[in-house]
Amino acid sequence: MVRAQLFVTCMVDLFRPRAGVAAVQVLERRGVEVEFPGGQSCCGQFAYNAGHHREAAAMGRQLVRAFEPSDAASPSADPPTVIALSGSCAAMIKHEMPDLLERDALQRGRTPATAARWRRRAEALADRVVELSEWLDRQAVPEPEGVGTRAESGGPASSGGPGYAGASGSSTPLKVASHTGCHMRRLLGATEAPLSVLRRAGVEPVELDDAEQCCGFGGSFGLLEPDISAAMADAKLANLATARGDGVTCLVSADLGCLMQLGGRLDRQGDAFPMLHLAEAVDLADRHRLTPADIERTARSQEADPDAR
Amino acid sequence: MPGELPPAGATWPERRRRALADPAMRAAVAKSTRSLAVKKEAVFATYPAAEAMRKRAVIARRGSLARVDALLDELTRRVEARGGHVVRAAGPADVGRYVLDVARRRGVQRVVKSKSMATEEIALNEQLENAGLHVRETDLGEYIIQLAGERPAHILVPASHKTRQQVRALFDEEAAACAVDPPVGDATPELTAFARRQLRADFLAADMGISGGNFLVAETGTLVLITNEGNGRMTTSLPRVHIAVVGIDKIVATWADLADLLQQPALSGTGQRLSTYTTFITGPRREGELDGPEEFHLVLLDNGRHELLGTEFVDILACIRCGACLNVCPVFRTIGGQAYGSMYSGPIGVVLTPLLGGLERAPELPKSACALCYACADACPMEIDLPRHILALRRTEVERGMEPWSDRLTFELWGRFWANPAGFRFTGRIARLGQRVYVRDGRLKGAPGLVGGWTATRNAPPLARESFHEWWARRRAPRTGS
Amino acid sequence: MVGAAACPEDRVVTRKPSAGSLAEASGRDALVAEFVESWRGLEGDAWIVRGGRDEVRRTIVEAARIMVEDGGPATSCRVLAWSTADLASLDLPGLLAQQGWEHVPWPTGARAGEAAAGTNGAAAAGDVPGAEEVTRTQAELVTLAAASDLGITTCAWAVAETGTIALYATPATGRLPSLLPTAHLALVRPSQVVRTVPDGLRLLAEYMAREGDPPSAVNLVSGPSRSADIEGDLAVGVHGPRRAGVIIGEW
Repeated sequence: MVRAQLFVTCMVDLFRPRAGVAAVQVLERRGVEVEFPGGQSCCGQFAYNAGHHREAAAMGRQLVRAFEPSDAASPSADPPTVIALSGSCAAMIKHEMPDLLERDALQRGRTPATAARWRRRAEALADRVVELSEWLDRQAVPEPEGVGTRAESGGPASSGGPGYAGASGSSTPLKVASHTGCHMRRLLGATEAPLSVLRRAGVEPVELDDAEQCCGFGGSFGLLEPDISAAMADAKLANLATARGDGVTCLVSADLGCLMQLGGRLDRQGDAFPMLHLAEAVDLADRHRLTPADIERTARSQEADPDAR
Repeated sequence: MPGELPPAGATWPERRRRALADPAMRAAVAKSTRSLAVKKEAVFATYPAAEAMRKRAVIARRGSLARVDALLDELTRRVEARGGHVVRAAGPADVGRYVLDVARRRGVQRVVKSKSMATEEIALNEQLENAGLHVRETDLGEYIIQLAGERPAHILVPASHKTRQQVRALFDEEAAACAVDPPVGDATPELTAFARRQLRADFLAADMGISGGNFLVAETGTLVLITNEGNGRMTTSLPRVHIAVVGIDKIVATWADLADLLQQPALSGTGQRLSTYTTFITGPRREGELDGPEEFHLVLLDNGRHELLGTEFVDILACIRCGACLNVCPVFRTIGGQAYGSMYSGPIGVVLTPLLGGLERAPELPKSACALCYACADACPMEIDLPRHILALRRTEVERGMEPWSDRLTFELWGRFWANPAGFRFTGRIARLGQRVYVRDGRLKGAPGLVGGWTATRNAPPLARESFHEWWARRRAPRTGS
Repeated sequence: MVGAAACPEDRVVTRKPSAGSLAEASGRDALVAEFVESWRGLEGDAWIVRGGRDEVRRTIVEAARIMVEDGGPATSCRVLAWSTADLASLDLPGLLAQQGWEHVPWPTGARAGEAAAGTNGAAAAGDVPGAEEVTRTQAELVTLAAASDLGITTCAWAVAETGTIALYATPATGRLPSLLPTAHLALVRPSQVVRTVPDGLRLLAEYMAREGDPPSAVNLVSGPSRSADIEGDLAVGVHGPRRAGVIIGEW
């Protein structure tokens, strides 16, 4: 069994815990022993983007502490991978946090040695962090001949997983729209992973026209500039409307912020369209339940664990 | 010394409102930015040499910026050796004074200008017109916005927010005012022919030509102009006096450096391998020449640039004004260039405007005119780290207390509570209770304070009945003991 | 009118290259072909001439007709041409007189200096015997240039990759013939074509090393003038020449 720690992110924790539940189940099916360090709260990106670096650093330090191996842990073991349920948060940890923690320590009057230690601790966490779809993509082993068979390896099960052919119960793969957030696209460079993961899940992922254009979430930008943010959402929703006309059944993203932006704007306009976190989509596919009806139900559900075992 | 920029005109809320309420402008901007972005991609994909040159050009630019003062001295010596005049201008008033002085000495009444962002920065036209000179912008896009009395809407294509019907209306008005024939219809050749006729008359009657400059080569004291229309050549060849107003950041050490830089503005700006007219000017006309200006003046503009040397922002001076960042910026595509209230709009404007004109002049630009999508960082041929600068300026605004106290308090409390697990749990529980007053039909339609910005234009799901932390504690923690 | 549609492809091949220079010649041909393709891609007109001086002269007339009048008879045409030693063997004055067109020579050498000084010194119409000596002041030159249909120049070098010709401003090679007339025609020798812009700048560096100075102005011209300022729509012939042509050949 492989150990991994889960970083659900504050938005998933508070607004859509079922994405976290889905992620746990997806990982456990693939042979992962999932740990959830309870001390985690937020990566601090919101505050960081708004220029509140002191507050962001405080949250960052807490995150570093929460995921550091405890003193009781075996020193010879490699610290486990940290799987993050947001490309944006993963990017914050990997790209900004080491600098931020070092700078903030110096600003608070700590010695350069202390500041450097914070940098190293943040770097250690950054090295372990991987966004969920990237992790799933890396686990993939080539499917042997014959669709829907599971390729066993000594380690974690392949994400080719339990019978993806006909995951939706029909002969033609379901079309889903896939949206990759800006930080995942440009800072993590992970545009292929979500698409590969969704294909292996037995669906046909379709990127929207103008895929690389920001949806307008932007963290503090979305709060400070509601009109411009909404106009950007509308542009993205127009692309989605085109895709809907082409038969996509839902929108999937690895970033909850983008989903809430687009879903929230659509809802304000009196429209609705199912939107799933990538973890939820893979979980449904695992259980052969990636059908329009189940997608709809999952998207609407307010429960943390809609299919409690 | 900090620089000085013209005032923004209207307030940010007003500029933003006007922009969002102008569908014709927004459609025009969306179309032109997309077209230019696609052209840039196409030329880099089909012209293999371009990328290697670009990489070397980045190094050359950084190298020059590390030696600006020495290079400016060398440039000055060489221009003066050719019989040109060089003057350093700290700010707008210095430039105005110098130009008017030359104009007075040479009996100048009519001025033609080719496109120069630096002269917009210092509102030179206004200074000259106030002193009674007739000033004509000759770049087609600048001519259009001069007739419209507007500011440029894009660094490279200043009238890209206008439809052809709007351009025709402007030309009709001008034709009536000058008692000449108006354009026949609004097809591009007819509109262009009108501008060509009108502006030719201005070129031939002008006493002084004012240009900007794309680069300055210290090695030989050479001014480099990169244009497409021919007005740059006319402005710097026909009138008897030529004044070039150029930012000190444009200095390049050698012709070897220039060789890699020369094609970059065209490649990233318009997707051309080289602009139609690339002109190297070294001093005034030489003895025996029958054309070219008799006098050449180079005004080296500081206006806040020098202060940036040696700081974390120095790479902003490597900007070649190609507009590539504008063309990919989702905020720019949504609101257009005039909403920024500065001749420098888009991502570069968000950083350059406060750096040159002071953060107080335009605090809303770094704070609000950017969604931090990083598209500009990908697009910039000079590899300027615009997102990093925007983040730094936001931090500075916070440190200087330039935000509403309620926002400041919100962030401070947020940070304090969320930096420890108990605080995080506590705010979650409070928020779940407090949200009830805002939940309608199972969704959040309102919110207090800062978060109310969200619900102004979007709904949100309510906070979940049970957070993931709580679910884990209930369903998992007893099993795994964590 | 687009150049590619208006002008013919290669002319008559009259010579076989000698064995030793075969590779060189085909490399040269490839560069010229690339230059022509780039130039035409920018809405420029191009003619490759292999027949030598006479052919070049005939092509100049044809090019003038096409660029000034879309192929019409061009009963009247005012041509402002450099009259450097390089162009002497073409006898432009004679050629233009044959067509009944008006020839305005760009003054050369010492006489140019006199004209520049505004004296009544005559500006020579080139060193061709029998040519008329006409007085031109500077102001008159500008007016004539602005009212010319065609400007004829040679060039310093040309760039294949970008479709560019380089023009140096000197007393005998003024700026105006490539700027003010409605059309501009440049005569290019195949040996002048280099592959890249940096290659051309190296030639400029050699010039600077020889002369001690760059010219007062160097213009790199890539096709006719253009703008996309109105709705992003391409407009050709904005302020500079509406049509820009090149004839590549030996004379």
